[in-house]
Amino acid sequence: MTTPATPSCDRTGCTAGAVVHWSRRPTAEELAATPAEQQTSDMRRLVHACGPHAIGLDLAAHVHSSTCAGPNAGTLPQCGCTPEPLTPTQLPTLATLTTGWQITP
Amino acid sequence: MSGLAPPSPYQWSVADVATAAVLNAQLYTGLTFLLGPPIAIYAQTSAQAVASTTATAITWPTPSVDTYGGYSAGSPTRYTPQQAGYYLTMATVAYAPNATGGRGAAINKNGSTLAQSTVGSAGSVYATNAPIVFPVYCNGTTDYLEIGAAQNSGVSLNTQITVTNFAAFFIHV
Repeated sequence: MTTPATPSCDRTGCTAGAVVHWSRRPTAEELAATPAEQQTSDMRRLVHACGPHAIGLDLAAHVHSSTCAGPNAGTLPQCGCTPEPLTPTQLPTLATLTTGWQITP
Repeated sequence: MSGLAPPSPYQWSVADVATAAVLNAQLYTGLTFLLGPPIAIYAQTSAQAVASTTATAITWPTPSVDTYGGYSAGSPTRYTPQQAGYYLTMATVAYAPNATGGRGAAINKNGSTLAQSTVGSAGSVYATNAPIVFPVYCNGTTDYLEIGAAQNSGVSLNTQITVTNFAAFFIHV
C-alpha cells in the first residue's frame, strides 16, 4: 500500500502542493479522451489549489462548469463561472410518538 | 494477481483425474482469488467543501489501493466494483471544527442511500467524524458506490484529509 501523492496546485506556474480541491465538468476534449466504458452521467474533474489560489469555501461546494477558470481566475476567491446549484438535503431527524418512542419516520 | 473471478469450487468424484491443469483451475486460481480479493482504499489528500443542508458526494483522488480497477478519474466520486458480490463498505467523513448542528455520512449505491449515520458536533476545537459501515451487494458491472456527506451547521465546512476515507472489501459472492 502506498500513500497517494498530493497533487500540485492547478494554477499555471504554481508548484505548491494542493491543500484543497473542488469539481468541474469535463471539457469536450476531456470527454472525448475518456473511454466510452468510463463515461458516466456525473463525470467530473478535480481541481486542486494551494491556499493562496483557492476559491472561496462556499463556492467550492458547487460543481463548476467545464470552462471554469478555477485557480487561474483573476478574480480569486471568485472563479468567474456560474456553478451548478446545490442539492438540498436535511439530516435525518427522529419522530417522537405520543407513547414516548422515538423512531425514524 | 488481480482480475480473477471468484472461484466456483468443484466437487470431486472418485474417477476424476487430478491433472495439473485441473488442479490449477480448481485450487491455484481459486486460492489466488481468495488470498487477494478485490479491495479498494480511498483517502482524501486535499480538503473538500460541504455546504450546509446539501447532499454532497465525497470526491477522491487516485486511491492508494484498488486491486481490480474500480476507480476512474473521470468519475472521482465513485467506486465501481469489477466483480459481483457483497462488499464490506466503510467510510468516515471528517468535518472541520464547528460547534453547531449535526454531521452525517452515507453509503450510496447507484445514487440511493443504503445506510447513513448522524453524529452531533464535537465542538469548535476538534474535527467531527461521521463513520459508517455497511455490506453492499454490487453486480460487478454497472453498480457503483459513493460516500455522501451532509451537515447542518449553517455554514460551509471543509473535510479533513486522511481521516476522510473509504474502503471496500469483497467478502462474499
